[in-house]
Amino acid sequence: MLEILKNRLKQGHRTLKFPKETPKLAERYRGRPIIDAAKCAADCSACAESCPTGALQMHPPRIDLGACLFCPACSSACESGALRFGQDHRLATRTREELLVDGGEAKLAAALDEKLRKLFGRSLKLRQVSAGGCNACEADLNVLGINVFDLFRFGIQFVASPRHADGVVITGPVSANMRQALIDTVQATPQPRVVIAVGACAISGGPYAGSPEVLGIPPEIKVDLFLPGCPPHPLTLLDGLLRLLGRIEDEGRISSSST
Amino acid sequence: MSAETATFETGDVLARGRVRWLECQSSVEAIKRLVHGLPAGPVSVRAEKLQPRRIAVALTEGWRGEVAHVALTNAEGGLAAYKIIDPSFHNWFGLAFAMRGNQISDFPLCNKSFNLSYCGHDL
Repeated sequence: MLEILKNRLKQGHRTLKFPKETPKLAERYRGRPIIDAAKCAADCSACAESCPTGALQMHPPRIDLGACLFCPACSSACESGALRFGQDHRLATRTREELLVDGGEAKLAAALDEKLRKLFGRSLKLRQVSAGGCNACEADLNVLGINVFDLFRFGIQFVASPRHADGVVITGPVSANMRQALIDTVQATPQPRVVIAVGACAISGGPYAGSPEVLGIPPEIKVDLFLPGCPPHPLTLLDGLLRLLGRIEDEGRISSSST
Repeated sequence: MSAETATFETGDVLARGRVRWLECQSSVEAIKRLVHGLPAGPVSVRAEKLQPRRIAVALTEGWRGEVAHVALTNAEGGLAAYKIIDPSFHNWFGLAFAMRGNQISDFPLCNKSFNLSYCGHDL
């Protein structure tokens, strides 16, 4: 016991000052892609050909962050250095269309309207549904509960029933076997509710898109927040959730020179 | 590669906790050994075209049971079906058995001491 206490004292506190301060992420971290279309050779589409999910469009180069696995296939294939992954963890958007980025200015997720902010701003209970997920997105949602990210200090918690929830967090590509369970869970969540799609699979099907077993989030479920990644970094998730609640007050945009 | 099999005499929550701890230590040792003996060569290679109309089964010892991968190819050599079963698939029944006759308040403790994967049963 004494050893444990001594150890705790030696370690000090681990909680981040986020969102007031953003920690320095590991050099290997691949965040928002940086695209310099001016460096693109006219007839080159090596990056798009290398992409395992077809997330890249060419001329001008654009990346669908909703399908991007943040693997280095495209940046490794790009010989001119026109495409690389930056360190910016801010990726959340409110619409599917805003996930298509060209490296220029990009819009980040806007806050909920005033009525919903009043309801959820200081207390948001979420039900998580893993609809055929691989446990990576689920694990990175889970890690938000540890003292480093400490999601609970913002009043956001995961609960054990949709009846106790204000919103549903969906992970996984939505397999045929999970489609009805997902619909039932969303319908069992009292209104007004928010729906959050986490990870490339939930947003676009990711590497499983096109499989007959993968149905995607049914169109009748309206998604309010998109959190891309494979899996998203916990800070991407936290940033997106806090933006949705209007608790990050900045310009809500990424400027084109951002790294 | 050999790894120490973690066992404990009883089957209660503490025992499962101890088994997990022993497994962690055993895993760290195994990783250390493997890291020092990595074979030379590229990290990833492009997959060759698959043989048409074949079935491939792979079984390996995983965390608390076997991991099974079964792949079926179609006439063109593309994947027709792929099924994965991990140890949790079987062990969920073990958890149901361990919970029999217990109070609901015991569930979280038992559930987490089994620490089974929720993912992959719905594919």
